[in-house]
Amino acid sequence: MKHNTRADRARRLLGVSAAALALIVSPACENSIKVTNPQSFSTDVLDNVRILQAVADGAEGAMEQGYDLTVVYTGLLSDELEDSSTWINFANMSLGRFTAGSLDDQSTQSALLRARFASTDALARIVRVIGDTGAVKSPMAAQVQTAAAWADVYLAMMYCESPLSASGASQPDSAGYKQALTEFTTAIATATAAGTGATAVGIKNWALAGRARVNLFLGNYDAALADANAVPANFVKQALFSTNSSTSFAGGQTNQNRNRSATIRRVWWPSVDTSNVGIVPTPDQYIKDPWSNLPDTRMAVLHTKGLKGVNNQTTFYGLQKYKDYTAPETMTSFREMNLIKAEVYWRKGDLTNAVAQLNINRTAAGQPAFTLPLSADDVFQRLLTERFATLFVEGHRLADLNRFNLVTAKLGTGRASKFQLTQTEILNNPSIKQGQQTCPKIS
Amino acid sequence: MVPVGDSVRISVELGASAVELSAVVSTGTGGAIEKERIGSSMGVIDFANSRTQVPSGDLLTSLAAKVTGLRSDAIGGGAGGQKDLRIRGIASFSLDQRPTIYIDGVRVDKSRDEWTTGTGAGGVACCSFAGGNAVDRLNDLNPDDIERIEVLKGAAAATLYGSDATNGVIQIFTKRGKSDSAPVWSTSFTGGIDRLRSNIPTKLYPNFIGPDGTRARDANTLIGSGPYSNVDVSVQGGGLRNTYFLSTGYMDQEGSIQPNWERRNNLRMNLSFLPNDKWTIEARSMFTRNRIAELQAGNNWTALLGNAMNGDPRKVSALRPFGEAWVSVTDIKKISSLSDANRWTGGVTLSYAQRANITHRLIVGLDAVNEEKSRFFPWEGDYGPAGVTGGQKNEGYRKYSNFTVDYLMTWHQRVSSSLNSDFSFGGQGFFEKTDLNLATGNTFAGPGVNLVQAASVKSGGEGFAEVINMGGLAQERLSYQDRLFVTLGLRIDGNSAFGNNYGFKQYPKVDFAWLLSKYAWFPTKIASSFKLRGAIGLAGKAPGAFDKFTTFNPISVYAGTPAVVPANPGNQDIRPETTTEKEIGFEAGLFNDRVGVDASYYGQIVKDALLNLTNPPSAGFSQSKRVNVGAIQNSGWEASINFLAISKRSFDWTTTLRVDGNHNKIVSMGTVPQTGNTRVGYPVQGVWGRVFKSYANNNGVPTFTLTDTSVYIGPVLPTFNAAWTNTVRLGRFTGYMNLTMERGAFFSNGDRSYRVRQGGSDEFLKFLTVDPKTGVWSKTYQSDSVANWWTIASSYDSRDHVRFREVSLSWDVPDQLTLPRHMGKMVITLSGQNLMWWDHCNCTDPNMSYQGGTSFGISEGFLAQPSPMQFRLAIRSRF
Repeated sequence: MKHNTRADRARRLLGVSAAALALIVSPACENSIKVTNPQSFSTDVLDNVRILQAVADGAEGAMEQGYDLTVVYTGLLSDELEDSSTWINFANMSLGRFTAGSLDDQSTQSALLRARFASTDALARIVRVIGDTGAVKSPMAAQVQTAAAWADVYLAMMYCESPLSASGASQPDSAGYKQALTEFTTAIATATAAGTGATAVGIKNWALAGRARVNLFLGNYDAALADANAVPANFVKQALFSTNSSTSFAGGQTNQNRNRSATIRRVWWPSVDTSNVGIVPTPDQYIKDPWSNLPDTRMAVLHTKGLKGVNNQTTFYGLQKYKDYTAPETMTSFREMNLIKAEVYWRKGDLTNAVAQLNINRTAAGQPAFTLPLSADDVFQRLLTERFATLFVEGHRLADLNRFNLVTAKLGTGRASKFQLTQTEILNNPSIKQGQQTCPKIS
Repeated sequence: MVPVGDSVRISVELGASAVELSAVVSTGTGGAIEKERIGSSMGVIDFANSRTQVPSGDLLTSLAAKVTGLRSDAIGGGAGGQKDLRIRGIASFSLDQRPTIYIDGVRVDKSRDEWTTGTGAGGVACCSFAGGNAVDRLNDLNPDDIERIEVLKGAAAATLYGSDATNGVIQIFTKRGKSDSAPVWSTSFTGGIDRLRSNIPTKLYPNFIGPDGTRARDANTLIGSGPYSNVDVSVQGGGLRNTYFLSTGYMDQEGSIQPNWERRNNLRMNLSFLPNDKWTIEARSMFTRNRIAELQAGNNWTALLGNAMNGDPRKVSALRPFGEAWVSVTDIKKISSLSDANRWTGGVTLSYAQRANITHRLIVGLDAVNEEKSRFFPWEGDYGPAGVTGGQKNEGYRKYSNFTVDYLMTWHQRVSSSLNSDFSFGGQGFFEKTDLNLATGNTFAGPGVNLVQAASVKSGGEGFAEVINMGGLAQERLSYQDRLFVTLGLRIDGNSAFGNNYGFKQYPKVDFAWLLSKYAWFPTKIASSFKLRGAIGLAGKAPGAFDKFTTFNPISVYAGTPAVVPANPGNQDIRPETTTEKEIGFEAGLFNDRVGVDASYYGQIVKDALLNLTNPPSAGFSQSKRVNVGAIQNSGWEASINFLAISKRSFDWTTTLRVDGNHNKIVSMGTVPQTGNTRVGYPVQGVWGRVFKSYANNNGVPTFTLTDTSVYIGPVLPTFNAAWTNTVRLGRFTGYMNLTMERGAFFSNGDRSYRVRQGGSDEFLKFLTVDPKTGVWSKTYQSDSVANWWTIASSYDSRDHVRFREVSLSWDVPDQLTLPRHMGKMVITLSGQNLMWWDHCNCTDPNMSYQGGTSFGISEGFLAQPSPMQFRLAIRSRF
């Protein structure tokens, strides 16, 4: 009989233990213990010329999503839209009541700032991948430069102040316009160098239209006129949406078939021709033109009898401009260029040309042309109504009320005239300190 | 010696005991051991017995108020809905708080979130399937299969479970066969109803008539009695070298607010085989099919009760008789939201006794869940507020697997006559993978179709997550003179969340148990048994699977163009959160073990707590960066007294009081801004809000203002819990009751203010006056006061309450009534659960929450449906 020694026992113990451990480790060998993330890209992977267009489109697409929010929220803070939701932040915007530290609109500024970062990050990547010489004539570079500039434009139109760079100090809206002006100029140069292909030309026109707007807002009237004149007739740049990609927030919140969270402001309700309310399905209705008293097809709405907003309280007039989640939203167009020209002419005292420019849009919309003679104030009033109708819920009205100092006249006192710098940026941006913000300015 | 033919009567009196020190428990990776030798706090639930007393529908409901420090609250209220399950409060800023769950040594799926959160596919395809009342996968388990449950409460107890043990560990042990036993058949038939308490503040609604002449309906009229039935059949037994336990069960539960139901089929087979004296082979297999019609509740446009109780009764119509806020009740009832899960959980345990003092154990197991979820909005419904026009179909598939490999060697040695050693050594691997596919079809051309394919606009999404956790452990248990026990342990653990090197980290522990009552000097006349214990240990908590990596997310822009945007800034230096827990306590048996006392104090320090460092939007990346900069202090105490007040041949009375307290405080947040409800010196996820500042009568308009900034209201979890149970046996009748109390927690009660803003709520309506001639209701100064206040204010309510949680009466049917009819040993139990509660909360249930099952959604209650009262009649037989 063989006696087990202590060493034998230890060896056997080790052997069994090792075998058991091997069983554990075996399924964990080699590739089975490597975990990868198949649903996101690493930054290294994106340094590839074949992916650069997707990076550039991401920057522009993010900016378009920010613009989508801009449409609804500037509408609520101006006299275009009124809250009919069950959300307290919609009510606050509609009433213009922001308090310091309010969280009422974190999303728009965040979206636009992120879009601008995505654009500058994309530009740096384009330069890294295709080099400086390639980038200065790259349509992709022009695209992201233009997207960054437009993000700055919308930020300045909506917010009193914003940082102008990643984690940068907060700057007033006028500084945002100036930065946008520089960016547009660079983008136009890049697009011009990119040649005469449809993509490059389209980007160039988009940048020209943006620079025209910024020049107007900065008081560079001659430059604004020149840029507006450089934009070809029938030009239009739209933010696009689909249910396969991002969806239109405006379409989701302002249409009677959707969430019914924002209706046109009640001051416009008496101006809506609702004579067809009883017809099923009800055809589009329109806010009437104040000068002709005719329905204006540029301001299509829909009100059915008894229809309330989603709050079950506010009478609801749905926007027909954005009928659904896929509704495109015009960011800029030749129509806006006509208005820019009209304003420049009006500011220069050239009332004849001002009215002529206004009439291009009016007649195209089926409205009778304005006739001269008109005083400067008469032209201004018509410029205002034409801007309201032509650019109806396209994100302009809030900026116009501020530009022309009309917030009090149109909406009353005690209201925030613009959105304030968001808490998310204040709290997390090391260059900005709590309590140093200068907005909102109160009417 | 007894001569053949004679007989001797031997009377053996079994002494009842209120203490359980000698009970053998399994500390999982450390191996089985008597409870008296353990130095950390551990809860043991005799689940089979508990289930007999109160046969409720699901596992988590049965766990409520059974172990100090363990919270298992039904919050969603719907059949199959999620529960809040946690141990010893909150010990993390951002990571899941649910304990790790093992069934017979196999780590299992414990998910209860909507698929849109944390899956990677969130928002791609569709919205939530049930708002805030998602299905809880722990409902898949058949409670009738469970023998006992062990709760390892904190880091000190669960150190050997490594980087997923911070939240504690719950081990579920299913029933086994008995060796050398004839087949014993068990059957149980349970019936009953679920019914909500009628306390919704809409009782004045029928006083109002809408413009079309419709009289408003009270939301309480929606409350129905949901039938419940459960059938379970099992057989167990075994030979000299094998045992078996086979069971099958079917449960059908309908909610009080319908449509909402759960139908679960279970099939289990637990086998063991001893081929020789050295080897034991155990095999377990459980298959479940669990179908749940999900309740539309929580923060959800189509919350059924939420729409009915938040309407304006002055604006009702024939189509909206409750004045529904968003979607009519009629249309919500047409929505079909189904979860259909097939689940297999099983494994093999090989035990090898190499020598009398050396054993090896290997567990290989798998938990596999294939789940389908679908939600269908029919074409003909009006779901505009929910963003649906012309119907919608959401269809999703989730495939989850968790593969467990667990090896343990134990080596017992007698070092000297007074010193014994039990050395353990082993390793574990957990391979967890989740695949998720979602598809949405929007807008049908007409009625009669319900597939994604039939919709005009289709979209889809896919998500994926994989986590591999590997570790090894070593533990030495020393016992000196069988009265002092010291355990030293070390776990080394790595996780794929830390990259390819797995970031292996050490988690040491030490504990002691000192049986003072075994010393001669100890006054055993007062305390028949007394154990002093203490423990200190570390445990970890791993971050999300991909938190480490800088990533850019694919998005689709314009009308479907592929694009890429910055998403996660990543953190290359990310580490696990580590919790150091110190615990001290004692367990004593007083007065000949008629009184059992168990008390513990614990203190946890969480270091490297992961905080979400929000990226400033100007810096691009949309996701927060997870940084290890926080520290949390979490402490508490637990005590239970178990008193065998009377123990006679035909009359027993046992009363038990369990109390615990818990407080946590944020100690450090590093450079992360203190904002919202996360601030140093206050509890994690505390309730903060702007409150009343001033009031003025401005020309007849009641005008209120709020404080400019948020003030601290209170913690989100109770700081004090109590459960008082009594069991009385009188002859063949046994009565049982469980009364619980919670104090100290607060929440933001969204429904209260919201209801008034909408023009409803009895507290507003009662101040309106009516013109008896015209029937027109008018506002008053009081009604304006209520309306104006709740227009700007949020309601912060206390969750303090006392709840009559469980009561039952069992009748042990005399054998002479059952045996002649071949009905075996029969027990009939009539029970009730959640029957009543008393609170001063302006809400339907102080435990309401709109995201009850998630760890951090408990600070708000909005559109939640409270838990129902449950009534059950169970007939159990063994033969």
